[in-house]
Amino acid sequence: MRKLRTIFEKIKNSKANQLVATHLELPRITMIGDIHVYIENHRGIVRFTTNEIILNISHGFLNIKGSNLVIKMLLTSEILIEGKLTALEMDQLTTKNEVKS
Amino acid sequence: MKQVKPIWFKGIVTIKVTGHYPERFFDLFARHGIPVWSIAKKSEVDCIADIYLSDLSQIRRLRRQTHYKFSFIRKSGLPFFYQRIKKYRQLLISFMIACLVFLYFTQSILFIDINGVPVERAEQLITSLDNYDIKRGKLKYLMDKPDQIQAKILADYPDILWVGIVPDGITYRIEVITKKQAPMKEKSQRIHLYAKKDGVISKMLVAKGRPLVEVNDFVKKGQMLVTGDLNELEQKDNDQAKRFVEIEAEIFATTWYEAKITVPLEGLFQIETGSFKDKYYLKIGSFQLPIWGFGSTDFSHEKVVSNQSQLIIANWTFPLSILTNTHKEVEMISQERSEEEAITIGLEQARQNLLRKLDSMSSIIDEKILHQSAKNGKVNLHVYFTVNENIVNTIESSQGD
Repeated sequence: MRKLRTIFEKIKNSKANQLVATHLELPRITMIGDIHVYIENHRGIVRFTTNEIILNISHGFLNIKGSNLVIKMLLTSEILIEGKLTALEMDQLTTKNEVKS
Repeated sequence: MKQVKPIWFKGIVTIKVTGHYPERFFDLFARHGIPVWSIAKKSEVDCIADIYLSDLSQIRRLRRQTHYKFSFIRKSGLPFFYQRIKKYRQLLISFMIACLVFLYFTQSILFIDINGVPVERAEQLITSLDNYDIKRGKLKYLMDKPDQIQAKILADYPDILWVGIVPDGITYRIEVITKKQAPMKEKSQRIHLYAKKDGVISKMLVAKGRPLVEVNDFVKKGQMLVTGDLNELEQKDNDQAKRFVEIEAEIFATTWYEAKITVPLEGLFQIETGSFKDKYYLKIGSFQLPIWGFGSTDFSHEKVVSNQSQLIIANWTFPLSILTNTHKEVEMISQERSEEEAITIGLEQARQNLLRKLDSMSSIIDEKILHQSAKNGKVNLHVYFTVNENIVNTIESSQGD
């Protein structure tokens, strides 16, 4: 876990990633197999059920599907989801107003 | 990635949020920077999650702005644990006191055990141990090391040869070995030495005293040999009391003994064959009831060894006893001796008998067969022994004076 973390830190600190984080505000999604997903730069929960989680991201929604989903941790821009994951979908939205709904 | 594992010390509350889209409520938490974890949806309108106890007031404030309802499901963590423990405070305190008392009793000295000296001495030792800060009920840690105490005791008591201290659990065991004073030699009050037997003086060792006889003198029984009166001349003036010295002397003389021995020419021995039979009896008074080992033995010659086991309580003897008779088979062996053999055996017997009567310093210097005759299958011997022995009367007496 620690090793993994150091790798993440390295990626995060690299120039390209800093660009992503600061300017584009795109989510970073880290998955471990189909049991664990870690999302940074999300904009809040839209819907949460045991089978589906919909998260707000900068340009649309992130749709996480699976079963027995549990939010292990919830912070302002970070979320950690555990459970049996089956799919991750991105719904791109064009207008900014709709994103903020 | 931040710390995922909740901190137990802060107190964790599991809350249930009821309302439409309860996840929105948690989203609100996240916006206000309140950590939430283990969020799970129970039904369409129910959601449970864990939060810290310290965030609860903030959450209450937030809830007021919304239409959600929340209830507590589980509480864990140190603050709740402490509250639960408060109920058992008396029990816990008494348990701790018991532990402390137990520790105190196991780690302190409760008995001081002094071995090897009489009681008065032990009392004296205990008072000096008191001065070294070794008392009953004192913790072991607060006392000096045993070897230091040992050195102190040895310094204070010059007559103690060795002292060993073993703190054995709650007992402080002290082994003391006192220096043994060599017992004062009992001064013999003999001021005159008399002959015990007739004889010819062979050797004289006079350390103290004035000898009255010389080597090769013939002395009779009761004759004075050495005197403690050092002045040869009789002093007329009686006002000066006679001074005597205690005598230390040994006088050896040649003495004579006669012995008559009869040795049969036919010797009869008993030899155990090794086979035996045990018979057990219950003995009541003089009546013997056989309980085991019946029938007679078929040994031609036998030797019976009896062994009686009796129960003795204090001074009272139990009237019943068990008697064991061991019947041992013996074989009789007769042996013919020649006359010379008989004489050798007879002389050896006579020598043993004589030496048994004399003290260990004595020795036989000569022996002579005066008369010898064989009659009725027996050899009769008449032997004359010359012995060198101490003729000083060793028996304490105040004769003469």
